Amino acid sequence: MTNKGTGSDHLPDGIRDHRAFQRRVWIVQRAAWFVFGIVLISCLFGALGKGGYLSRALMETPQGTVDYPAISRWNAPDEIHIRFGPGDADRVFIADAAFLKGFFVEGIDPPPKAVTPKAGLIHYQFPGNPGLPVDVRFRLHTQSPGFHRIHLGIGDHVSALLVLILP
Amino acid sequence: MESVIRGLAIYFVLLVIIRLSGRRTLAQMTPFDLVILLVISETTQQAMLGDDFSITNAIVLILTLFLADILLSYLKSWSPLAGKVIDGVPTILITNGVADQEALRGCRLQIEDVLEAARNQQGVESVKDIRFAILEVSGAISIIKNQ
Repeated sequence: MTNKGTGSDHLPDGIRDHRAFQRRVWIVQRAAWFVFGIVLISCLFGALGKGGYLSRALMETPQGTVDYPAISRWNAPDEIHIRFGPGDADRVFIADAAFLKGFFVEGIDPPPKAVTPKAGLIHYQFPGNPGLPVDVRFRLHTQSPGFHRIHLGIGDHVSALLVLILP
Repeated sequence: MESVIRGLAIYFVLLVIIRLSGRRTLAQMTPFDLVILLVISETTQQAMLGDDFSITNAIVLILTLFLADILLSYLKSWSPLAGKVIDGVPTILITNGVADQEALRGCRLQIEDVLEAARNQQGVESVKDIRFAILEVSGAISIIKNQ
């Protein structure tokens, strides 16, 4: 049921029939609602960081694993989980300067035995455990938005990783 | 600089989202709309201020928001199309007692919403007594009675 016969001459002063424009707006609005839904669904999958499958990535090395944020958010807390395999020798987690540019390290649990710079990389040394794996948690705060190519590793295995910090 | 960018980003993102969500969302306030409004204001405050709660930051943000609003008002007066896009246009919901279902659907309104406005404003009992019901740019529904 439409308002047939609604000519501009019958309308109150100052009111015009913008039907064609309004139809376009309504279509754009419905398309936008669809986009809103897509954004929320992608958020549930972790595409916008802070939890979800896409927001985390796992780097595996023979000496352990590094669970790091692949997608994070600017000025927000985040974490890196490192699991060193069992062994007598000290374990070393390695990060480069680009990592510290993107992330501020607020705390490390348990604290490292030593932190030493070597050839442009920072070595965090942790005591090994012969019987059990050792879990280490880096509590981070993201510092600058954008793509960051960082280097992380355990022992001799250092990999270049791409991390996105959303604004 | 960051405060200005944050302020402008939030202002325009909020403007676009509210415009795209449809006029009904914040203009005709139900208790649910009020909850949305309160949560949005709290969320945007965090995003705009960041971790800087200084008076300087607050002043810069307030000036940014006012200036953006002033510039938009000039843009709307210079370009009627920009005005239509930014603010929308009045929508005729009822003409001579006949409801425009397409317009009601487009604006996410029910005929009951229009009749409520008609009762409140003009004491109108029936849709047949309404000559025009118009959803204004402000979100209010104007009722013009049949003579």
